[in-house]
Amino acid sequence: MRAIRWVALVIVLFGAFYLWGALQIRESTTYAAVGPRFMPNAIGIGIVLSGVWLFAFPGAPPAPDSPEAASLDWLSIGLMLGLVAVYIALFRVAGYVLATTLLLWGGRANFRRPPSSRARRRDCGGAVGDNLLRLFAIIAHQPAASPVGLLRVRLEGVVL
Amino acid sequence: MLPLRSFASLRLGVKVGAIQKEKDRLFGGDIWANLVNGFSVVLTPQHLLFVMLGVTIGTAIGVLPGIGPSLTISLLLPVTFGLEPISAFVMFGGIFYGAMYGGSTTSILVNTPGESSSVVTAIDGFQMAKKGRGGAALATAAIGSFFAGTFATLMLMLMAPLLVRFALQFGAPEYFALMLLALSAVTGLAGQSAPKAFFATLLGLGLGMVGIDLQTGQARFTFGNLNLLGGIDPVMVAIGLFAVGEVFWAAGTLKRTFEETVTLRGSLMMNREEWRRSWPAWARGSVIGFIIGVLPGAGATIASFLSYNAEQRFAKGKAELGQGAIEGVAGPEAANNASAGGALVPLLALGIPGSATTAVMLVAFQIYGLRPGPLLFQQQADLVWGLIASLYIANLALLVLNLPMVRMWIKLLDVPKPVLYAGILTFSLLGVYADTQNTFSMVLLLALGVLGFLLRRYDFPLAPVVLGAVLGPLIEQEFRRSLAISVNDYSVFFTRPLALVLMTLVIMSFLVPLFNAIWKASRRRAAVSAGAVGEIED
Amino acid sequence: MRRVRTLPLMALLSLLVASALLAGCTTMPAAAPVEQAAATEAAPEEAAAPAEAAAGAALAPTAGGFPSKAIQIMAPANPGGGWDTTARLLAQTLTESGISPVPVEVFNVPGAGGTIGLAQLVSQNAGDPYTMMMMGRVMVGSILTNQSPVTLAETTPLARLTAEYEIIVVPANSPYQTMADLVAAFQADPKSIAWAGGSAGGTDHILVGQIAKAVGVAPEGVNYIAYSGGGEAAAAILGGQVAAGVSGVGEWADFIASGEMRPLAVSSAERLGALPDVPTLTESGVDVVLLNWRGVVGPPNLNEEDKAWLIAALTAANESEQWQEILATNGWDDVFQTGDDFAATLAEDNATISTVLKEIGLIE
Repeated sequence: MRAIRWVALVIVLFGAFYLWGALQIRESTTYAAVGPRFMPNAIGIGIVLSGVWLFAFPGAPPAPDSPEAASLDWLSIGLMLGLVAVYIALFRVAGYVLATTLLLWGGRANFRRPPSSRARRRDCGGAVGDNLLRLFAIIAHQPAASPVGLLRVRLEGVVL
Repeated sequence: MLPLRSFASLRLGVKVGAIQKEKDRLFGGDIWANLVNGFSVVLTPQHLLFVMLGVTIGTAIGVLPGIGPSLTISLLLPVTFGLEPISAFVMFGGIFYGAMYGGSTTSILVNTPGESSSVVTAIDGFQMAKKGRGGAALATAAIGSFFAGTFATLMLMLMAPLLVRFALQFGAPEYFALMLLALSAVTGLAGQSAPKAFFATLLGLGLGMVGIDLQTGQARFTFGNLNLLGGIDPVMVAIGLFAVGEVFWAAGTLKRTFEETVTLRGSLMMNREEWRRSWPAWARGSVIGFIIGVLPGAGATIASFLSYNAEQRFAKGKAELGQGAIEGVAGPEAANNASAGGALVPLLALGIPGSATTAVMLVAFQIYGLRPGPLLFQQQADLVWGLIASLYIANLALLVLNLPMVRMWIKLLDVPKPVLYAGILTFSLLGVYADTQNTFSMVLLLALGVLGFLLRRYDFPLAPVVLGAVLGPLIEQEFRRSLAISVNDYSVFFTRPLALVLMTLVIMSFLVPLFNAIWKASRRRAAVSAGAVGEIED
Repeated sequence: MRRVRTLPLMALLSLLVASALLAGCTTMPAAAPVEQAAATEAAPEEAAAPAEAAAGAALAPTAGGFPSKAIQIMAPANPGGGWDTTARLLAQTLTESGISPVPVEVFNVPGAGGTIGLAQLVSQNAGDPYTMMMMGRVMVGSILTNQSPVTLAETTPLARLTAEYEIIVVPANSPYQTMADLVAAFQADPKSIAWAGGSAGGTDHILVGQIAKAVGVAPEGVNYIAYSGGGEAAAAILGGQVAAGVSGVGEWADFIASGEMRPLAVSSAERLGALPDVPTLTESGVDVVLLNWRGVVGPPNLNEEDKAWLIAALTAANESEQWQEILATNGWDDVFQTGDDFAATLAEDNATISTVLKEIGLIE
């Protein structure tokens, strides 16, 4: 079976899940010509239908230059995902500076694997420089006592 | 700055009569004399500086994903406490217009729109950049923005009272029909596969349902998560699907495929042919965008999609749309700037904000002790006319600043991809964080990024998802309001003249492509059976 | 070679990044080389310097050294709404009239009728005197409708600041001349009266629910049309799309003044000074009085000293000329209350609102 047909099945399942979600909405006793479930139900049914439609007519097989046919570097995608997840987890704990520098460096480095040591050094330097620029702009014009900038990241949470 | 108590004494007691009378009431006399006065207020070095500053900041935040004009203006408000009101407002006007233009740059060059109103620009803009006409795309966006912004300001000045009356004709059924018309733009964004586009639209509409239902206060699809009660911002959908999704896609493909370097073909500016094709698109986009902007319930995103819809019907190069037609950039970019100007009409004339940005400007007015509304033009003539004059200047500044910058922006294509994508990722995450102060929004953005990646992988069109997320709540609320007000009378959509006109347009715009497809298919079949395939290629 | 060519672009990008960040630095004066610096980054000794209307001297810090850096007011809503406006005006008053020795800033945590901001205040700012939250009577309702796990009982009530009564209006060309006309039509055919107001479960909705109860209309018969924000509702009323509208008195003052909306009744106990011709609901035979207030709460576990300082600062702000002028301009009433009195009000409103919400079927 072609991949797109599996996708169609996933869509049908998602539609069913959406309809289940719509069932969880409380219909209040307030007067309302059309209640809060009406549109979600319609959308849920539509999603199921679109899945069935796609399953029935998956279209021509993907052309060799289409994204469906592209061979993907799943490791790299996984690393990128992990990197962002780590960033979000670290954001409040380690603070803005460490987390963002890590993200900038990791984001760059991930595109160059295996990186030459020169590229690695450059990425690292670039990330630090890039981030320092931002940090500088955040705190440059702030009186020492007011730690808030664009992103309202509290400096006490920042490990310098 | 009149205290409320004296308003009673200002009671005019006149029923709204002739337009001219009303115009006089609003503007207090001769428009042109007022405008000259306005320019004399604004043309001081200090105010000009603020206009330029506003345009620069606006363009910058337009370029950066996630940071929108409403956030910027609200962050700037305390800085402007000590300024005279006019300085602050001319700066905000500059930010407003600048941001609308700025969003186009990354859409065109890197396919990562920074605002939901520039999503549609990415479709043809990025294809143009791939063909080496990125410079022309940026130029048509800049000149179109100037053209549309100036047009909108002119209309604001000449026709505000008339337009306000027009906007008030729009009740729930009319808005419902208008939103459906905007939704019909998906027929043109569908790409190759109808079921895929159908799903993408529904997915967007479905995302728009998340959160508290305005009419009944019930939570929907929040699964007990407090953070979802506020709903999913369409801007976040746009950034997640396009920008973050693009980063994941690049992570998966960049090292395998040798990315063809984009070379510029021809001059950076538009050539004669491109000029010829841009003009009508700017004009259409300006008119559509302005009208949508005047309506307090619509917005820049809807304006840009409707303009794209119009291009699909009327543009010379409509067959080329989707593959890098200049009309697909010129129209929507003009439309989103014109809608910014249009949104000032209900703000200034009625005190009704039509968008998040104008809502913040309303706060700014209040902080200065001003009350926009029917009395503002009389009480604060200097300020209003100064603001209008500064909008003309802001538009000019936008053009002067950005046209030469095309040369700079185009170099964005030369930035090493790792640096570029790491930057996009960081800015997107920080942008949504800045907007909500909540790490949950980053998690949501990541999820939307993964969704965007998967949709891209299986060749689903992304723009309909954003359009659906914008329109979903609006369509639903207006539908339910219509039926509540009419007490369950479905005929309300067809018995009101304006609604009927819009509904007819809606039906036509859904049916015409369908008939076209059937017609083509039957001709093809006929041709194949006649054995003359070559003849029907059009 | 390649890198050299991209240099100007990099420089430009940095510039943009910097300017965007500058835009964000709320106390950043350099972008605007004007003397507002004095007002925004006032150090203790500069604060009393006559900026414009510097009335009193700054409050001295507490023995514990609070405050030593900027104080934040969270507006738990998008920029542009009532809480945001009040928070910004309060921050402006505290800073400009020289009450606070440190800058006072506003930030927004939008969503879910303020309950997201509330949850954040309670979970992330416990014991932190540098963060206050703007809130109001509406939040009491949204906590109930959203079944928020965090309630106002966990916060430290600081001060109730402003109050606004509700007003009932009809379009200028409406057949209803008085509240009695409207009530008669409402009783005859409840659904024929479409009431426009703010989001479901908010103050406007609760007032309509109370009116229905008072005039003997079943709550489920109320045809209430929710609009997001007073602007959208105003458009619907001006265009004659709905039969009646409900809102805070100040919001539509201009439309009332220019004759485009006809006021029928206000929700106060006595007629308002600003609108002497408009009867109260009670006078019109509808026995309902409703006061919509806004106030400031602090995070849980504040120490007594810091709490006292904050209440003193808010009291001074409330007494300042600048604040009184703001109240007058916006048509707000002064219902100042602090600490325990305010906490008692909160508890009382919680009881009333949960009864009404149950009756109109929004909560179980």
